Amino acid sequence: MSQDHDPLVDRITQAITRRHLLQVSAAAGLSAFLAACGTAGTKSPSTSASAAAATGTPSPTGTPGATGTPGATGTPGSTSSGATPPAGATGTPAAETPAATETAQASQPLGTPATSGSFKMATWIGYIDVGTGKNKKDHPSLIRFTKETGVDIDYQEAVNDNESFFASNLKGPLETGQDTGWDIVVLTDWMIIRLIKLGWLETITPMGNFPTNLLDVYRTLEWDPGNLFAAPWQSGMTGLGFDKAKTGALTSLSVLFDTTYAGKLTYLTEMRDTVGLTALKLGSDPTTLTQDQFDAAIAAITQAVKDQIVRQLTGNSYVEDLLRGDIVLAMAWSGDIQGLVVPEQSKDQDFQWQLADEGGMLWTDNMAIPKGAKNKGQAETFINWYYIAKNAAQVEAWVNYVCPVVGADVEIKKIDAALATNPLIFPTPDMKARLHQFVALDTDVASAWETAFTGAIGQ
Amino acid sequence: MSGLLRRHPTAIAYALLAPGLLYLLVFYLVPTVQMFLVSLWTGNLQDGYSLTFNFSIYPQALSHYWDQFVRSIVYGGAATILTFMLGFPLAYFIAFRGGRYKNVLLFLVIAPFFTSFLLRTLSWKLILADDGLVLAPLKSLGIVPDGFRVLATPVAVIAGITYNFLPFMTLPLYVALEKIPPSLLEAAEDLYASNWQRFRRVTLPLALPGVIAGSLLTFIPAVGDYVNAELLGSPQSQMIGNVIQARFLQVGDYPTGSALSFILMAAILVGVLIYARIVGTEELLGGASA
Amino acid sequence: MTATGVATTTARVDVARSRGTFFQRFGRGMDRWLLPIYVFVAVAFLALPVLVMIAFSFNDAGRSNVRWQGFSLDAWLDPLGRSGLQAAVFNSITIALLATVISTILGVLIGMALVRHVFRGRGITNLLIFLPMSTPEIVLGTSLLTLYLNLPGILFPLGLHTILIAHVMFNISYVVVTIKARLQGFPRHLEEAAMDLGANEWTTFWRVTFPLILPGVMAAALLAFSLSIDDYVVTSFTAGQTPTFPLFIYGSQQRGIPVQVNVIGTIIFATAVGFVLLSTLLSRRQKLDPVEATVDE
Repeated sequence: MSQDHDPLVDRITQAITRRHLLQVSAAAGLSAFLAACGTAGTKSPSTSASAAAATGTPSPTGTPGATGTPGATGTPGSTSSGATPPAGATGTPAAETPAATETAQASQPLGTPATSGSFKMATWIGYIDVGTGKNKKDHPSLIRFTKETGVDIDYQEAVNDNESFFASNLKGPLETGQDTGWDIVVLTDWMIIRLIKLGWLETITPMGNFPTNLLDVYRTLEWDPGNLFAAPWQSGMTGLGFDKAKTGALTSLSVLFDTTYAGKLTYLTEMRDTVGLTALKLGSDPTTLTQDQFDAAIAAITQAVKDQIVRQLTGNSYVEDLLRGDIVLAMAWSGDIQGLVVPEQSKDQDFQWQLADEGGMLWTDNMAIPKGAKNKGQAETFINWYYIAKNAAQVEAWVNYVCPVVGADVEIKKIDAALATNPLIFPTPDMKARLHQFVALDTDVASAWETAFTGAIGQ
Repeated sequence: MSGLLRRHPTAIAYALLAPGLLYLLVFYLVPTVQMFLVSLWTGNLQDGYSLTFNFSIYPQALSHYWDQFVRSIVYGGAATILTFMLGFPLAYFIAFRGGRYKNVLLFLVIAPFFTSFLLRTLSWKLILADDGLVLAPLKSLGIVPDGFRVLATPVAVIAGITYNFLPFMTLPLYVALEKIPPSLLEAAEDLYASNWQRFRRVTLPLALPGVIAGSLLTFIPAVGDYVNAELLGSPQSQMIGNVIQARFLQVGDYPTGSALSFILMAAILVGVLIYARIVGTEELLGGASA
Repeated sequence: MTATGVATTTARVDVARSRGTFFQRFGRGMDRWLLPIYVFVAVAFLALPVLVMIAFSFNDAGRSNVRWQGFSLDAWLDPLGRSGLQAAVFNSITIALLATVISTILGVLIGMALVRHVFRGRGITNLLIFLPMSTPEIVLGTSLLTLYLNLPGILFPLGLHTILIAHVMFNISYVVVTIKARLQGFPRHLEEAAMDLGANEWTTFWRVTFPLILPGVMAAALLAFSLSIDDYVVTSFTAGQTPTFPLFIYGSQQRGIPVQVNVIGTIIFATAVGFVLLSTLLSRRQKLDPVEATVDE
């Protein structure tokens, strides 16, 4: 099949050189993230100041679309204040890039938020707040979004793992230059890198809040300088999820590989999570994983499968397996246990999530707009809306993941003061020291590793 | 026109056949050829594929996924035998002892299969859960040990397949048994044949077309099944269908997926064609008509 | 004829009771008691998952419908109240209806040719019809997908049309087989009589042939519809991102099955059962019709 891109795509992909993408992204991304994670946790006074400024600027009400006067939000005045670097930014170690960020931003005129229409978003479960009692099927933040902007959202929890979503939803249409039907897809960094490389994403037109209100740490990503393609939705950690009532407190990854809970535990179908945790257990660093270390990890996984220690490899369905009591331990994503499992646990279950002593994986799921999306303007309106601290905080208070929006930490205290110290939302320095991102892979290596991984899990 | 057709009755036959057969030609035979060609591609999902007549993929795929092939045949075979052992008494009873409840019983056998295949299988996952409807009481009574489980074992996969394909065995058996005139069985009895002899020498041979049709209708889909292994199995009980599915829909490795799919089809077709040679194509269709 | 058959058999068994070895008595005991008990257990076993499905449609569950949490009619009062479910059910019904109509027409034509005509190439025709039935679903799905992949712009990207093509394909064979079984012993003399009375082929077909084969056509259509609406495997390869009800079930199985899925499953089940009962009732009533009665005997 031909891989010809249209000229626009070529222009964009040339702007970001391939070598950059492949070689630097992981290492740079990690150090930057760890360095600047502090922005959210430790430097809250300064960020809150910038947040206040940022949220205040685009529209006095803090609801850009609701004003219904596109002129007001698109005024040059708001552009200049929007482009002002956040107060906290200059203090961070990885601050060389804001200049580049600003250039990229400055080159793009601010977009105008849509005030009508609708768009379709594909995301994961447990990534949105839900109502209580009678409204337990509603998503209050999304209802508010529609009320404030006039844009309808078709929010679908359609992603179960990156590779299958790519193969079943994106590859076909994008390869033939057709619309995928999705206006926003929420996918993990490495998949976004692949999509950028293929030229299969639209650039996100800034509308005042994004990328202005994006935490600095995310602005230094080598694979998306200027934050043209990816708007982080949540970051999260991969660690141990377990039923404390059955297992007691667990802190070491070794329980995933010995026979104590044989047949009562699951791994993840995401190669980077499962191989990453296995590598950590074996004492290697996933950030710089070598072929030998990868092979060793695969051997350990193969052995665990052969010894019937692993019951299944799952996407999000470990949530159901835990609740059903079929498993008592899982490789789990940090927010899922608190957000999805605990609310439904029975009296004799006590679910916990723990970052293991050996460490855990760190990743970011990003909103991106697939090439040719029909409702790009509406999608951008949503991204812009989410990047208002108050709105992100409302989502965050429920989902228990790490929030990328400046000032959300201040806003979240207004919802529940206890949340501001929730280590799932604001990892402690000690936790940050134990988090790793998975090494960035060249296309050939990536597919060879995927193949080796699926082989290890019986497919 | 009408006159033409009257003078050439075969022309009518061909006119009747043409649309349907053409359809099958375009959407059954052509895709099969296409799949074979795709299996000879090389490349990857991101850079694209090209046809390089890479025949070496066949021995590679076969040796790499040998375990899953063998497992599929073993599971499929076990499920076929089990459906026969469970389905034969059922069909026998309905055919000979059903009386006026014959249709009601037949209906009770078929009715569950008007439920979605996936929902039925997921129901079993609920019923057989480690602390579920069946195992929790057994565990609290101490009949099975605490760590005992059914799900995520080969037993669960085979049981799931057996359940899901039981009507495919029972119905052809019923049709065959129903055709046996009771007078033949009476004659056997008059000749002092024991129950066992009567069954062995009269009933079973006459039911043979049903046995063969039922076995084919069960074994073929069972070997290619992956839903039961996926929902009820573990990484240790993955069948060839799981591999094909993962290659196509998760990894996007079309050549390997196509090669495996082609091997599976070829293996089954060779078996069926040998069978068609023996019993004739009309019989094949007649037997399957249950 | 069946009833008398059973009666004679029972009589024989009674006569035979007075004699026989232990094994024969054991065999008879099995025949008398064990077999009925077995059938009862087997029918219960077959029905169990369906009963569980129906029961859990009344569960007062949150995100995960995996544990009984109390009785609730919520899902029944709002059976399509999950995002994406309505579109999936609508697609499934649309595809099943279209696939049923198309495959029934194509299949009935083939069936009539096979039963009523002598022609060359019969063996190969039978083979071409038998092949799709003897090919595992996963092979049908993957081979069609490879065809679609190679026809970008025509059959790719995937969508409703590619699912429809696939469903018609696997339905045809089942329709032919059903029709063939029903057409065997077709009263040709009625058609000949009509022709003798001056009716042309067209009139003969609609006034004589069609009413006679209608029950068979209905049975075939019912089978095609139920195969199509429940198909997961072939659909998963040919759907792209078009949701159908089985695809929705599978997707939510990974993310938490909403109670509504059980509700829709129960409705489909009840509808199918209703249809079968109705058609049995109708065909029983039709036997009062003199022509049908003669055909039957």
